[in-house]
This record gives sequence, C-alpha cells and structure tokens, in this order.
Amino acid sequence: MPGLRVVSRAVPRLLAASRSPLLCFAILFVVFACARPPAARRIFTKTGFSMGTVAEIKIVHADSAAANAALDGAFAELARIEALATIHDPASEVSRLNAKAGAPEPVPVGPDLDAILRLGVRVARETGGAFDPTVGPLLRLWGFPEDPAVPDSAAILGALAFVGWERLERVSAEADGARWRLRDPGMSIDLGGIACGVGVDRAGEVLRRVSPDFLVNIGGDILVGGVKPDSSAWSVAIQDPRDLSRFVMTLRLRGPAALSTSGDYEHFVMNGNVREHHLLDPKTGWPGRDFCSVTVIAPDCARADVLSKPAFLMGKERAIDWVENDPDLEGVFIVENADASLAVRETSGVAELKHLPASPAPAGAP
Amino acid sequence: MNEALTSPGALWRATTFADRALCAFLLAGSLAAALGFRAPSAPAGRAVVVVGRAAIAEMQLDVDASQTFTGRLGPITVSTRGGAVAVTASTCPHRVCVAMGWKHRTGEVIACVPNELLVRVEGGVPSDGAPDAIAR
Repeated sequence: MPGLRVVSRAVPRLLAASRSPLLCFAILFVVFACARPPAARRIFTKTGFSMGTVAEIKIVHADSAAANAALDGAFAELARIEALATIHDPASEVSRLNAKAGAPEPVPVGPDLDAILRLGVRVARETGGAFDPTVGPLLRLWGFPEDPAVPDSAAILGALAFVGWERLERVSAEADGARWRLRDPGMSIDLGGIACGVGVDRAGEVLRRVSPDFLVNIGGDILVGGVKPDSSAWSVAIQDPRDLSRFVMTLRLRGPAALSTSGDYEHFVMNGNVREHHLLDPKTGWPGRDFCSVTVIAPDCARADVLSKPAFLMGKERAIDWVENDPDLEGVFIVENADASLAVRETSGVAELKHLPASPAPAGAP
Repeated sequence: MNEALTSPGALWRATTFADRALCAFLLAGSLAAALGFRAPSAPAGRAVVVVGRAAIAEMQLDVDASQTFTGRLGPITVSTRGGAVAVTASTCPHRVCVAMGWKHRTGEVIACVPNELLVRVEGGVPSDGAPDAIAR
C-alpha cells in the first residue's frame, strides 16, 4: 500500500525534525485512540420458533461471529430440551415414559428429564396439586393447544381419574439420570408448564459462557443476564391480556432475573360468553377463573414458569399471599372485572422493579 | 508541562514547520477517520417473512403491498403500508397475529405460531423506548 509507505516514512522524519516530540507523541496517542476504538459491544438478536412458540434471544457482545455462534448454540440447546420433553414425538424421553404408564418396570430417563420431573413433583407437592405434571389426559381431552373444544362434565371426571402427581414415582437414581414410572395405565405427563422455563435457563447457560449480558424470551418465558450495552437494565413489558397492542406495565430487570406469564388469552375456546382456556385446574378439570393473567418473577426461569401455573389456579388471595411470602418471588396479577375493566395487583417488590432507574446509580448515591 | 507551551503564541514559536505539518496531517486524518465511521443513511425499513426456519420473502415497508404465504394451517396474508407491516388475514383459530396490529419499529415481530410464520421488522424506525421483551 503506497499510502501506508509514505506515512511510515514521513512520520519518523517529522518526529525527528520536531522540537517537541512529546507533543507529537501525545497527538499521535489521541488520534490513534480516537480513530481505532475497540469494537463496541452491541446487541445481537436471533428470532425463530422453538418449544412450539416464538423464540427471541439477544446477546451483548463486540464480535458478531462469537455472538452468532452463541445464539446458534442457545437455539440448539432449546431444541435439545424440546426433543426430550415433547409429547408430540413418540421417541422422546417423556413419550417413552408415557407409553409405559402402568407397566411394572420403571423407565430410565436422562439427567435433564430427571431434573424437570423432580422440579415438577416438588412444585406439585408444595402447591397441594395446583400444579400437576400428570395433567396430560385432561389437556388431551380438551384438545389444547391445537384444537380445543369444551368436553362434557362426565368426560372431565373420567380424565381426572388419570391425573395425580402422587402416582408419578422416581423409583431409583442412576449414575446418569434416574428411573421413573407412572403407576397407572392411561396416565400421561405433559411438561408444557415447565419444560420451556428449563429450556430458557439452559439456553442462558450457553450464552453466559460467551457474555454475561443476554436476554432469552421463549413465548413470554424470559430470562435476563446482566445488563444492556449502555449498562441499563433490560426492559420487559407485561402484555395487556385484553388488548394485545398494549402493556399493563414495564419492568426493568438486571440479571439474573426471570419472569413468566400465564394468561387466558392465547389458547382458549369460547363457551358462550365464557372463555375456556388452557390453564386447567388439575383438581376440577376446568380452567381457572380468578385471573386473566399472572406473571411470576423469580431468579430463574424454570421456577418462574412452573410457579406461574399454580399461582394462576390457587385462588386470588392465596396466590398473592403465596408469592408475597416467598422472598425469591414477585408477582403481577391481573383480574378482569365484571364490567370488563382490568384490575392489576402486584406484590410489594414490583414497585421497585418498575422504578428501577434505566442507568446505574452513580457511585456514592444514596 | 513545558511553560512555553501554555499559550498559542508560545506553542507556535516552540514548534517547527514539521510539527505544524504533522499536526495538520494528523488532524486531517482523524477527521477523515471520524467521517468514515459515520453510519450511512438508514435504508428504508423492510419486513422479513420467515416460515418455519427459512426466511422466504422481504417486503419494503414504504411500498403498499400484500402477499399471501402458505403457513402450516393455510394461507396467511402480510401487508405493508405507510412504513409499517401487519398480518391482515390468517387461517389460524384466534387470529392473535392479526390482532397484533401494525409494526414499524426495528426488531418488532409479528408471529403466527399455529402457522409457524414470523414477520420481523428490520431497518425501520429505531426502537427507542420499546421494551426489550414482552411477557405474554
């Protein structure tokens, strides 16, 4: 490059002829510092479908190749979790477990499904069955999510006979996973209320190896790590359940933080004037009626995802108290009034998240 | 710091022609570098239409148009008008995608999950103030 050759010859000559080389070095330093800044960190985004819904993943990084590789890795991790937890593939781990319902021999499952099932059973126990991973027969009866229709009460009672987390047993631990069994024929596990949150957390682990700052959003199950490139918090809006073009509030979250919303407005069928949605009470077999949307904020997305279901179903007062009394959780509860207006109730810590400054407070600030 | 360099006149006397030439050269270079870093003017926004895992079409937001694509459940129509894009007709059960309305900000997404169709705005109006994610 002739231009570079000229400069490389001219600069030393000029420096040699200068009476103030210090000044020249200072100017050179400033110019090179300004002209060749380090690559700026920015947000890289990938959007697609995963876990049967829309997936959007963002990562903050300076290098596009590293960022895109991390995004691809996160989507691959989601696909891996989906593959073992889906009931739509007869070869998946959970389908193999369902296929052996009632058989005396327990079914070996890998460490990931083992972890998902253990979390599901634990939450079922803690919530007195308001969450139940064996709700598969009920969901199948109602046809959610693909082709919902309102079944008659007798059919619902019949399906309820095959629902019961107490009959899902972890028979033994293995070196790499465990052996589980469904005690009765006709029982089936549906991990729609839990696997997505686990997948989000696992995708977050992939991203965290490359950058501490990221956001994973799988159909509203959201995990944030760190902050945005300008050090501001990630902003997460909660959907208005009756006007999809509006939000009820926007929270500002610094990672690690996660939230998940369960609502009655995406999967439903109208039964006269009644909205029959997919959040089925495992005890009654009918959709929960107390809320139209419940958002749970937790340190990780698996808990946010799985806990938003029982919070939706356990009744107004109990649900809010239950979330309020857990120091790791916050919640936003939306009720539709008789006049179709919405009432928003929130736990005490949500106000702080709404008012978190967009930028970090200066050092020494109160 | 050399006291002789604290005033412009002293600085002028303390430097040779070569110093001044070097400064002029470096300033001109840094100015050119700064101009070179300026982003080119933003192109017109566009909507990228993805079905399944593949991007199958791009529609310019400033051109009034409608295109019908084949989703998993059947036809679904994407329209552009006045710098924005919307799903204007769909075969999905609840038409949540249609209810999402018109989008014009960079990064905004309209998704029809049953049809596995996704419309993403690129190069449109900056998304200043828009949330980074929506919990739904």
